[in-house]
Amino acid sequence: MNVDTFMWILARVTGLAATAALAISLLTGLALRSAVLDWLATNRAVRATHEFTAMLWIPLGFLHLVFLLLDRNVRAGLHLVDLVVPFRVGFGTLAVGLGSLSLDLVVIVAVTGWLRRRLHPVAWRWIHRLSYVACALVFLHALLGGSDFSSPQVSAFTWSGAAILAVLSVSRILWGRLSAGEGRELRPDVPPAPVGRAGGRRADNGVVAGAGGRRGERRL
Amino acid sequence: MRGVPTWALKGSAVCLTVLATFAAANYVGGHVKDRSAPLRPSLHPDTGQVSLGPGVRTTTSAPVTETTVS
Repeated sequence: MNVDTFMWILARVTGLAATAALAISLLTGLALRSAVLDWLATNRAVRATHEFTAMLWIPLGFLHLVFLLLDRNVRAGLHLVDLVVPFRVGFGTLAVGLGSLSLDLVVIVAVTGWLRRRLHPVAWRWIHRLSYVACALVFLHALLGGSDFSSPQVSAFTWSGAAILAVLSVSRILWGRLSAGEGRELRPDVPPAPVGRAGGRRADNGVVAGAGGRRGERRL
Repeated sequence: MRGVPTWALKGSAVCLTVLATFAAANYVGGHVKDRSAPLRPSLHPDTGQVSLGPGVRTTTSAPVTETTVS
């Protein structure tokens, strides 16, 4: 096995791992609104995990790009600009282009996530919803690429995960937050998050305190 | 019930990602080549440039003009 093939293998491994980490991120993000993980943990814990997963999928996605560029076979037809400008490459144009497009979207979502406090909540919310589109594009990128998603072993996991996330996303769009989540949300024994927490995270646990101390509408 | 603590959720996310990484490495290591994958073009052996084109080539051998009947 030569170096190029080894880089190709590493690119595929990191690509699959980044997809898995991104799926976890999407799941925890969906859980914040759909209350699908309310049986497991508080919203504060799920929110912290959702923010933490960025430290998993961003490095893996970055390594995926680095290993691709280190493979001479790929580099011969893929330039640095093609990573961010979609549909320019001469091979696998649609599959590679969708990957570039998804990269653009996840970068926008990640950057605006860090700048959340400086953005208008409504603007941030709509930008953050691009993550649904980005995840769908990542899935299509991997599917059309055909390197691994064509195999039954990989497909069993990826299609199952995609189906679960799709059902949750549609449920979230149609029905919003489940009633069980509302019960947890209004429970008096769940203390509010401390104010001024380090690391730039939201200190209000995503919940805005209303009049009389009652917790109000989530903002995510 | 206060639920699973934050550190446990984060640890689970890390474990799942690591598990997915190892599973992917195990699978990809056993399936290095995939002819149906279009994302890795082959390089021309002489020029080192990417060679794009149809996989079917014109043969130089003589055409078959007759068949044998048994």
